[in-house]
Amino acid sequence: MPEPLLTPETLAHLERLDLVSRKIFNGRFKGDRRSARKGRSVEFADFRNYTQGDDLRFVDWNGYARLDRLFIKLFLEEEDLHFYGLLDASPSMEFGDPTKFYVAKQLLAALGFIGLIRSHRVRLETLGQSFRASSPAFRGRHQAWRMFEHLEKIEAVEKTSLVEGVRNFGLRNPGRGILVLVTDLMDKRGYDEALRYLTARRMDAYIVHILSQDELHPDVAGDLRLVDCEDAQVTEITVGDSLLKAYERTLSAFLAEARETCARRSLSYAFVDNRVSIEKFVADTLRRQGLTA
Amino acid sequence: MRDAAGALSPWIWTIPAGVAAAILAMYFLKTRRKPVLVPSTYLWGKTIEDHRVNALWQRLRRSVLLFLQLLAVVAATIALVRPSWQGSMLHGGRYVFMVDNSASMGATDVVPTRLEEAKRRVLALVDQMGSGDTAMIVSFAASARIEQGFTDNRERLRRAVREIGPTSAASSLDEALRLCAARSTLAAPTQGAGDEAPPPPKPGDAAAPRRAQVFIVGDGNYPVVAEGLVDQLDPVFIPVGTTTAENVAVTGLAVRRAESSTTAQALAKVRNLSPAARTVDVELHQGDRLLDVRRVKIASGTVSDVLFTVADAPDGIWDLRIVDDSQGVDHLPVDDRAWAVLAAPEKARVLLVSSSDRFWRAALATDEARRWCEVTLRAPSFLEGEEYERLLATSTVDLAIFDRCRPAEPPPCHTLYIDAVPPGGAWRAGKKIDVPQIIDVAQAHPLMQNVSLSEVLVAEAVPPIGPTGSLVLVESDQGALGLVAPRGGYEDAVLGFALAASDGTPLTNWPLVDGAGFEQFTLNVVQYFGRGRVAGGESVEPGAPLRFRLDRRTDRVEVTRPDGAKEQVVRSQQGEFAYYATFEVGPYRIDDGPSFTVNLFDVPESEVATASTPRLRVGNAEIVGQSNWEPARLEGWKPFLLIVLVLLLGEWYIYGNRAGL
Repeated sequence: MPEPLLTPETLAHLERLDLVSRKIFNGRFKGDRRSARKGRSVEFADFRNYTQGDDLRFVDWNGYARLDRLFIKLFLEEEDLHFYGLLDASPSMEFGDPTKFYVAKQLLAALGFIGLIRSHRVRLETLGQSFRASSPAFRGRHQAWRMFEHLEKIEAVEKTSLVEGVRNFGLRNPGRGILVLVTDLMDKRGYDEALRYLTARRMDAYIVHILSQDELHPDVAGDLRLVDCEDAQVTEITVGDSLLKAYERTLSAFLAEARETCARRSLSYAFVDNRVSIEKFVADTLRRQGLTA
Repeated sequence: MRDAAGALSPWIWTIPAGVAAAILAMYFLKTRRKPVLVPSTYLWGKTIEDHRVNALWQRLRRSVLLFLQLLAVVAATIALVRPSWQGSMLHGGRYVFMVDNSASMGATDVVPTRLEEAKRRVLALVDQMGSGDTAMIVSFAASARIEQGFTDNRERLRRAVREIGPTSAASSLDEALRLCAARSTLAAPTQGAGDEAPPPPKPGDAAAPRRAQVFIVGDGNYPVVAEGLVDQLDPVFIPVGTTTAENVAVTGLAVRRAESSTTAQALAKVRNLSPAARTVDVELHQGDRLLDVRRVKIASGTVSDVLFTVADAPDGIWDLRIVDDSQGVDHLPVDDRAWAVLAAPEKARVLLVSSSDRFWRAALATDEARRWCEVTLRAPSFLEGEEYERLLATSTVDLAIFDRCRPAEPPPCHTLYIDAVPPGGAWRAGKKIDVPQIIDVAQAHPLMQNVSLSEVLVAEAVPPIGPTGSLVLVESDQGALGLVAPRGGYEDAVLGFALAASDGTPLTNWPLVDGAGFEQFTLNVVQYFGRGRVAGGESVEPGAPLRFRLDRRTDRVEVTRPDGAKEQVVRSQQGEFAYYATFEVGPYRIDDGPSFTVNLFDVPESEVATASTPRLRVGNAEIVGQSNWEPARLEGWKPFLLIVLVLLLGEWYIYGNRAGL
């Protein structure tokens, strides 16, 4: 029996958290989440002057009696939040120990779990899905195990490019919400256009950039013939100190560029390696990023 | 001829083949890289790319491969431009190539012939001339000939070399060197369009004309060369030929008919110039008829006389042949045959104009004189008749003797005047003198050989005064009594004293017949002045002119050469015919006239085996042949090509064991 993505202890810790959106979204159902939108919840928010056409049920009659002026009571609207987890299920994610793919699924499971217990609508998809094949949406704590099962069934066998995957995602999900894209950004065709698509969707998007320790600190030596697992491209190298230093420089430049590109496109960026503690990452790093609270 | 692939002999091809095999081996032995599956080569690819770009100059310092490649490219470039430099033997850029085309160069011990090999070597030298170098081509045998004057046009030089043909003449290097010395130091040699223009005169340069480097290409069997010539030229001798060449040669042939007999004898000299003894058949032919055959065995280096006696021998051209005996080879065919003409002896025709035949009858009655001449006696009145006019129009007389008389104009023949001077203003008669004492006689002159005048007394004489260039034959205390002087193509001899007075009184005690008296003088006169009449049968060396006279009144005769070709020969103003194109050995026939033969008969020329150390003898010094002397220009591309191959090997080795970055 495969190891569960999240342990009960982790789940217990996650129950204290909630997902936070920096933008106001119109949910389809009232949720447990207080929205910036003034609505019909029981929690008073503010007053405003009455204008013609306002619902008379919200007139503060007590205030009218004291001040002889009509005020409308405003209440905080409680609405649900759409949380989208988008997983890069390409073969390159199946590297590392644990694999990047496993860690990515753990992360999405954690965030999805938080969304479920907060009555948000959670949809976890992969980049390889076509624009018609939507994944099921989950809502409510009771669907957490279904969501976990759904995640566990996903395999890293997709060869869709990042750009195409994001575009298809946009076509499948026209609404707004929070999007967490977990990927290694190792797409030889580049990721900038994909990020541009995300920006255009005006979603509250987070890019979780995941790399394995093998990629961060490659333990290689000698004469090697590197074979790309996705396109079988061969690169012959003879590892030496100068080459390893050059690799470190390339990696640093790659990470810095990813960070800058996301910032430029108003996307939140978070880097994680495959040895990360999911619980800590969600409760600490993503809280600083403003995704969790 | 050298094999066309001689420059690159087969074993040379094993080198590039080995290099190719080594490269293939290194390809297969190249390090097998361990394949590693990675999530993406994206970062590695960028790393290599960035590394290459950023570390270009650092890698330049450390990349042995790049260094080797650059070296290989440089070496290949140098090899492609075919670097060369002049060898130490050449200087001045001005050369004279002398090609020996004498008879011995026709020897076949070098395939196809020595001459072709010599031409090949000269062509190679022409190919190696630098731009701006000029050269002259000279061929030499009995005489030297400038085939091409100084020019920098290599094609003309090559054509001139290719057109040099073999001759049957002997070698005369002396004349060729003299010609080269004259031409190579001339300041302004020109030979038509495209040839070297005369250099502009420079101050102080006139006394130092550019010296040419002289190359003599031949077999080296030359007579001794005058020493001063070589000091001037400092030639390089390139010998052609082998030390093992074999030859059996006819070095002499004479035929003579016995007097009043139908029997004739032929004496041949056959010389063995081979290293071993030879047995040969000597055949005597006349036309297609085989007259006799002798088998002779000749030791190495010796000569054998072979005498044939032929009965009922007809007149004509006799042909002696050495037949190959299958024991050995004969590398020089030109001297394997000889020709001689057997003809009735023809006597000199002498016209004697004298009022008395008393002395002449006695002097011309000797057997020897009768064998040499046929005398026609005429009185002095003959000189005013038509017959003498006819004589003037032809040249049917070889010698005219005028005794105490003289014609109005000189006849077209040699003359001897006794107590008279030739007509015309050139000669004058001196004052009459009495009892002159003869004090000297020019014994070296053919006319006075074996003539003794020491006891001779002369009663009176009229010393002749000859023209400029006259040679004194007899000198007295009162002046010259005998003179000889040229007159165009003839000579006039004058004796200033008579043998007897007109009344028959003897005026001298010169003995008529005593072995060294007047009859000897007469015989000398007949032989000397009658020598121009060639009765046929004369043999000349190849290249030497044939001179002859004909009785017929014709200005043009046809000469048939040994190869059957015919040539017209025109009579000269002196009434003589001269044919110069005697380059081939064999019989030369004249229409309705005598025949002549041209034979080599030259032992040094027939001695074809070259010395083990060929050398030119120059005075007391010698110039050693440089048989291996061929490249005047050193080619340097081969070492560079070798460097390229070595660098390629090294590069492959390093690449195979330490790849990439």
